[in-house]
Amino acid sequence: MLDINNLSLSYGTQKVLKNLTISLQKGEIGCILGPSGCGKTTLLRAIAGFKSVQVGSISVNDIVVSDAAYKMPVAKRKIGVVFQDFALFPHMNVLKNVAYGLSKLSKSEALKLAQEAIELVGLNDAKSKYPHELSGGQQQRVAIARAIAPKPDLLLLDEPFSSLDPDLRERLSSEIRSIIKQQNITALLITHDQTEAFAMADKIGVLHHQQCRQWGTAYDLYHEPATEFIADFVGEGVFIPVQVVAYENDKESKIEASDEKLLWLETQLGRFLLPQEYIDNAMFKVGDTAKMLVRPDDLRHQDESVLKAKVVGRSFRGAYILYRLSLKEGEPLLCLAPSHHDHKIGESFGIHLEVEHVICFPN
Amino acid sequence: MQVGVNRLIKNAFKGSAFTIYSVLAGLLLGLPLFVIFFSFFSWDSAIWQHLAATVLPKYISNSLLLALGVGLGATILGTCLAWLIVNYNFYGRRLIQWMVLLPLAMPAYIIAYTYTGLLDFAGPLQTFIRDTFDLGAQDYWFPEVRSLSGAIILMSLVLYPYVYILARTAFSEQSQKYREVSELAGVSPLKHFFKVALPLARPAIMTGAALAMMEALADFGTVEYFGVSTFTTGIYRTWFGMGDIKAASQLSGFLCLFVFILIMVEKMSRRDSQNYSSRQGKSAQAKQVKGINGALIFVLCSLPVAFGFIIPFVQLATWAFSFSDLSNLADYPEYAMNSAMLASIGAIVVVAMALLFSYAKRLHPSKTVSGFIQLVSLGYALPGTVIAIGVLVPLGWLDIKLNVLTNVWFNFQPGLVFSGTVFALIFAYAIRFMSVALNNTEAGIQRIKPSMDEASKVLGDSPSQRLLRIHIPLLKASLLSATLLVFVDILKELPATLVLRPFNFNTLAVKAFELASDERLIDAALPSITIVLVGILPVIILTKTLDGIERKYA
Repeated sequence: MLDINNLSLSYGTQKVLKNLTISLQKGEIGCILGPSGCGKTTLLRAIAGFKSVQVGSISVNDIVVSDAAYKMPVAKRKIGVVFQDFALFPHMNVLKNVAYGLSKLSKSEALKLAQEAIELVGLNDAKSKYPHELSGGQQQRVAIARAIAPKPDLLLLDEPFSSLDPDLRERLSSEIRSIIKQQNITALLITHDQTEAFAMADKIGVLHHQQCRQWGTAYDLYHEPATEFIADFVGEGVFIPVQVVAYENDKESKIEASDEKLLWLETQLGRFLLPQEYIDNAMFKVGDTAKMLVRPDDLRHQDESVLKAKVVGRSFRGAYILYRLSLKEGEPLLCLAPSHHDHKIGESFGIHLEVEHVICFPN
Repeated sequence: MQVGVNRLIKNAFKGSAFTIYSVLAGLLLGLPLFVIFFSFFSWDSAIWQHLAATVLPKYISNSLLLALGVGLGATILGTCLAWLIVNYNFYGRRLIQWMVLLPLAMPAYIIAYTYTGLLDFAGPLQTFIRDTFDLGAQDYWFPEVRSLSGAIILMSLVLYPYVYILARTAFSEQSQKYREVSELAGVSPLKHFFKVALPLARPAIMTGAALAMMEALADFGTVEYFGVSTFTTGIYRTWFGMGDIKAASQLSGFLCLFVFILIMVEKMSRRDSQNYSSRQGKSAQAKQVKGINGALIFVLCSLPVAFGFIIPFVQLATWAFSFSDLSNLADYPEYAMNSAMLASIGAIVVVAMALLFSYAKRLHPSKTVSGFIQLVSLGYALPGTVIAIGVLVPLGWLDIKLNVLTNVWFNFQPGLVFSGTVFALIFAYAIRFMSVALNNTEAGIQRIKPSMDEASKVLGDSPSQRLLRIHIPLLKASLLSATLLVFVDILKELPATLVLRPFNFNTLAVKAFELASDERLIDAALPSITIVLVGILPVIILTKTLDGIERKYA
């Protein structure tokens, strides 16, 4: 549905985006996640047609809308945009705002489509109100209704929830997601807020240094991050130092010493087998130092463990408490423990590291 | 040159129809400027020798003295008023704040003949002096109103608001901390004013003074009535008296030299004042002054407005409603209608053109469009007489060619369809008042968020639909105030109207001036007071805008 192929964008001589390739199927919601100033708004403007493309191409519905030689006019693209500041027309009421993009249709048809869109976002009672009479959340709904009323092929959302308070943000994002899903609209959202990305998107791309290093599901991004930046940017976690050592048969491990190439990762928190794909890529050899990603949920609270850590910080999160723990040496670790394990700062408790996906980066 | 022209054409057509409009309209409005400019280069030494031997020295000295005198007078009045009003809180301050701008509603030529009526030999004041002290005509000395110094004083009285407005903003933006620093250092308020406050406000004051001086150079009605020979009266006489358009346009070109110096001063001061503005921190707090001192400041502040507006206004009202006879009321509706019609058409045309310029710049913010916008905003600095000559030369040429052509082809002569009709007037107004309208449309359009345009664009609007559906509704307030300002300016405009009006076509301003010139001061009062009353409307708007600015920094 949306295919972006090897896209590069620049402002004057300054490159803002390099070799971006992503695609979305019909009905999928994609998200470009990145810190502010990483070029994600530029990407959105290029897809909408406000900005021309230097290298690569953008296709919607298998039709090229932008490449180095051609730029389809904005109005012809059948793309809806929800702007960061909503950009509602202050001199028009809700109905007129939503019907704005339908002026080429007959009056009755336009009215019907506008009504439908307003109903969809649940603003039937506010139809004749003006933007300044609406709350932030309502304005957001009007902006969505206006963007989807002309039944666009693709919906773009520019930091759609950034101006709302966090509570409303979460409620509205899941609601908007269900509307988009229900209408089977293909949508691309850009944001710097990962909870928003996780709540809304089927596929997420993280932009860093003008490049998108990974395009995948929220699960992939969190548990199998492709780069150190993504590992750090998405979710919480710390890196612990590891030493790569040769495999030797030991009693604890149940693996047979048949494979010569196996490697151990030696850490303060125990030994872990280096996953096969790292060995296949020949990324590490014996004697290397590296760092391993430890998510707060990988570190378990375990009273019987011999490995004790001291609490240096805690933040209560309802069902869980996020502890900052310090071992004898090295950076503090993060541990997400059920909140009935209530420890004060200065106390120690036993921990146990259980990693499902070992993620390792060279130093 | 060829490359430049090619690029111009290429740029023009790369943009939309709006860019093409702004290039064509810019060229059209720029035409009279070019005519004057180039006529100065087609130097005719015979004309100049004659002028230099007869009138030129007088023109130069009078124009310069007038401009400098008015600049000085307006600066002193405007700066002192602004300083007192910003820094002292006294009883009646709000009233003064509003009234202080009223002289803007009083055109210089109207105040000139009102004071002449008040102060000349047969006027009430001299009669009173003679009666009280039982003096004869030769027994005492009384200053002559109808003189260069009279013109300087009267014009300063109506032009000081230019300095006042800018100085007031500059003073009220000055941080309270500056005053505290001076107080801690034991510097007296007077010394603080000269050492800190005045130097900081200097660029703003200079800008205002340059504007007042431009108005003084542009003035025609006052100096003509007072019999002071300046460039504007000279241009008028050369054209009307001798029919010598070539000499008139060469004189215009010469006058433009002075004007361009003032434009440079103004632009540079504006740039400086941006560097000097200190918007951080709390702005200066007005000091409470009570009792005698408060009353003294009140009286001091009300003097300029008393002499610049109240006294002449009361005199005009007395003349208009008590003394004028009914017979000359008969023509009043006719020239009031003419004025209203001319001002309405002019205001709508000028504001519509300004809107299109601003919109073209928003669509394609190219150097070409911005350049033309700057060119067409120059007109505010040019005297009406100069613009009139600049309009007359090309339109007169066009009319002659047209008549030759139609005579050859159809054996028919349509007459002066361009130069002898309302068209020429509207053309001249468009040049003179475009910047007034542009100030409003530019500021208004910048307040519309760019995302509005993008939203309209993704929803399928063409540029012209966007203008109609988004920009015009959102700009309603700016367009309205621009229309009102241009309307009033046209209503007051005298010299260009006098030169370009169709035969036997009278407006309020023209009639007021003609009646006054015929020494029928009492009959001139009715059209004059009409102009003044309508002129109060924009003063009200201005007061509100200024209060808004001040509240922002409070």
